[in-house]
Amino acid sequence: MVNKAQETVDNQEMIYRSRIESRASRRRLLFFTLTFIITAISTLFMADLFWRLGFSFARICILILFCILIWQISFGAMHALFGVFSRPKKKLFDHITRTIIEDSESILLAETAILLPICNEETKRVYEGLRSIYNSIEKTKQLKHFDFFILSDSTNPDRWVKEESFWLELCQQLNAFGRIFYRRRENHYHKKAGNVADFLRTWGKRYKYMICLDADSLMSGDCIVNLVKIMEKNPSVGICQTAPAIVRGESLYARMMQFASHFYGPVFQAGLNYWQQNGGNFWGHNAILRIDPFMEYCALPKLPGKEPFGGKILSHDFVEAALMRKAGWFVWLAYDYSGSYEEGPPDLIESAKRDRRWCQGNLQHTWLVLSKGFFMTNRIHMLNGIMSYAGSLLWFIFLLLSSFVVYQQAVSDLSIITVHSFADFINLSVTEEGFIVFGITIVILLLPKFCCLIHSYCDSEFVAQFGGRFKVTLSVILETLFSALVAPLLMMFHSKFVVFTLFGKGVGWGTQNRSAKDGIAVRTAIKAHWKQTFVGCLWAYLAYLSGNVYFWWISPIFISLIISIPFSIILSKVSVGSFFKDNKIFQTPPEVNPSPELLYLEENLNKNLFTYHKSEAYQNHSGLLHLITDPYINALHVTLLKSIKEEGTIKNIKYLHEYGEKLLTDGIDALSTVELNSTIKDPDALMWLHHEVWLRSANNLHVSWCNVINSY
Amino acid sequence: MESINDKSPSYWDEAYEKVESYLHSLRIKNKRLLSRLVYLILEKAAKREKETPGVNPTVLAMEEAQKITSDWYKKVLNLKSNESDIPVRGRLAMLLADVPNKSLDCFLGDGPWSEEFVKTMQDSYISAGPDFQNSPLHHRALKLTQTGNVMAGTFNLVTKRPFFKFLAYWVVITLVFVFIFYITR
Repeated sequence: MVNKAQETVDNQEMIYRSRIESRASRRRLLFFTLTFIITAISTLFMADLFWRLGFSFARICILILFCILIWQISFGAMHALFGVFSRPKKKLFDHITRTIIEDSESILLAETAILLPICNEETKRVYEGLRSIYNSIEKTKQLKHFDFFILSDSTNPDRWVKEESFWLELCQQLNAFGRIFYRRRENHYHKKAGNVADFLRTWGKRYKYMICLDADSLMSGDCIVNLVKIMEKNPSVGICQTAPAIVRGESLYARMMQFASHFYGPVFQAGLNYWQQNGGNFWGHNAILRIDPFMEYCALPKLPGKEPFGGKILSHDFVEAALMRKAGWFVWLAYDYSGSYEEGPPDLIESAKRDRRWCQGNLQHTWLVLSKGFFMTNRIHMLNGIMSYAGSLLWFIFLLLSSFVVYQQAVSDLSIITVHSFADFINLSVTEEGFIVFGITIVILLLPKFCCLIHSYCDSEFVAQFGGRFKVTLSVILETLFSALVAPLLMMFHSKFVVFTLFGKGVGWGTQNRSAKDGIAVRTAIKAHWKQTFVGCLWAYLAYLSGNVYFWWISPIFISLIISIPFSIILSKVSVGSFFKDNKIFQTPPEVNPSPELLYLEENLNKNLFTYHKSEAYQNHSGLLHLITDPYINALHVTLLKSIKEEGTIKNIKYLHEYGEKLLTDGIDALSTVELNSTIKDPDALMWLHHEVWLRSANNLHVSWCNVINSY
Repeated sequence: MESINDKSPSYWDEAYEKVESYLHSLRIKNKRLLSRLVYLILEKAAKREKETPGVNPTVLAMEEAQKITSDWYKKVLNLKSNESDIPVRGRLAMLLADVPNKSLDCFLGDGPWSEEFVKTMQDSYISAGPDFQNSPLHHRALKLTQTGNVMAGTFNLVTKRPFFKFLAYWVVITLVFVFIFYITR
């Protein structure tokens, strides 16, 4: 009987799988054929134009580049087009979120770990985010199924100490001992992926699912509970990714990104879901993963060669999704769930820094594209990731070559002799045909924005959240203008990153600055953009020599480069962002109607709920000063250290006493970071330091210790 | 307190301030209790000062403060006197039992203490994570396609042998020049 029942279940599973696979195949055929047709038409006109002007080596190169680049932008435009048409049909079974609608209440939850990997992040924001998520899950009355893990890779001793004491305070305040856990790794092997792998090796088998978060993530309890239900209802799903919306942007740049994420995001995600179906992707956070297959199949392989192009995989998410799919599990995008948020970089320079890491990570995926066994959809995801950066370099070369061809023509003083078009019935002049190519390119570029705008006009409730039709139209126009100015700068940044990576210059995985302050300093802007300004000036000069017409054609590129320094400063300004906010430009739904978890987060960030640290009084080394003087923080740190202390890790006592003596008499700055780190890793040294700092008279202590002691 | 007054006031002032700060750092904010404890500690220090003249009063006072607290932790937690981490366990228990806010009257008192207080203190422990359950991740090597293998071989050669790395750079530079040559014809 059991075998027969199992057989029936297996048969149903096979039918279900084949239905999804065949539907996905049909959709992919339609989606990519349409992309191909648009690319082919555009390329045909471009080829014909060159045919009429006469082919040269440079023009052949331009044509090849044009074909690749037009495919890339058509691919993006098709997402918007398909997204608009697939969005209204909300009853379709192709939304993974629909699978739990009917019996949502009856689905029981399984044990789930919520992971928060951090590395030198702003402690208060991380813990308040966690508090908000915890609180939101508590409201669903399903808290008993969830454990929270703060997985720290922090190398900054101050941050480390702060994280520990904040954890303790949070647990006390929420009565969450045994529910929220804190673990810091001694070695930081393989960065975030290694951090999660370490969790899996240690505690993974205790849980059925894990929800990965980022330091700036925020998720509602309902969203989290529903994700677990989706996984329980759909046993063939290995990963279910939500589409996090950007929130809490303050600077102009952040608010623009935020608007784009809320306004264009849903349409693009619908388009993405249309063709990828069960072959989705993992974006590294705000997603749920089935632990068993993840541990069995998703351990990251080592790439050939060394970093930055080979070696350890830097961007692990795409690869994990591809490995999960390779093993036969589904990866879905639950794009229509609200309650999944993240924060974006506050300015262009921070954004470029993040792109520098992502660029290296994505270029490494070339090896995966060239590996056996992966699904085509995953190869497309990876190729798309590669092209997000390599595409910039290709655009740069394309524009340079085009400029060169025009310049060469201009200085040669030769007149242009043209031949007939490929089809006699198209009676077009060369100029007219040039305009057609330009027009097609512009239409493809602006089609997504147009689609989203039309889509918003059809939904009065949706458009009202963005400030109404007039404001939303104005926002889209301004966003398009600003994006047009930002694009050449990103092109320059990305081109540099690609070349650097290919020539072996790697990058670390540093902490991202997520807060906007009062904009970037002029000096920082000059340092980041002076080369772009120089290239812009040179380009403008060469364009000027090439003639008036070309000068104006290429002007959007060089103007953006020339004004890059002031433009970058303006983009980073919170005051400029506030001006737009006050005028309801770039307004987003969470600003008008914030979710309870967002409100709760904002409310708590404005309070000072963590009291063990008097960080206002000691800007530098506040964590370390309190670690040694505060009896409770010291006891907590020592206890946590002793709980993970392994045999054979005892440091040289003589050196530690030397460091300790230096620390007490000359202050924290007397020790290097390495010396500090080895001191605060040793529980005996810390107990001794705490004892000594209180025992000694002021004459035998550095003034910083006396100041902290007097502040209690 | 006679002996305290006999000494140089500045030394004892410093001792007083240090003991007071220490108790503050333990979040003892009740002024009545605070002054009583400071007095008690300084008195003991003053007695010892007679036996060991020349030792800085701050050192003596703080030694007394740490001894008094350690003895109290030992009694409340029922620990053996040879355990080296008594102060750490005691402070942690105080923190987790929230003694400064919930059971301040018991702090450094001789007892007897209520059963509930003793139980709360003794039960206080900290766990940074659930019990370990070691389990491996299964690593699988990448299987490259033929193109991938050729590329990997070349890449390994270029990264491992400096000569080939130079050669690769020169080939790229040459190709750039050839490209420029061609497009300028």
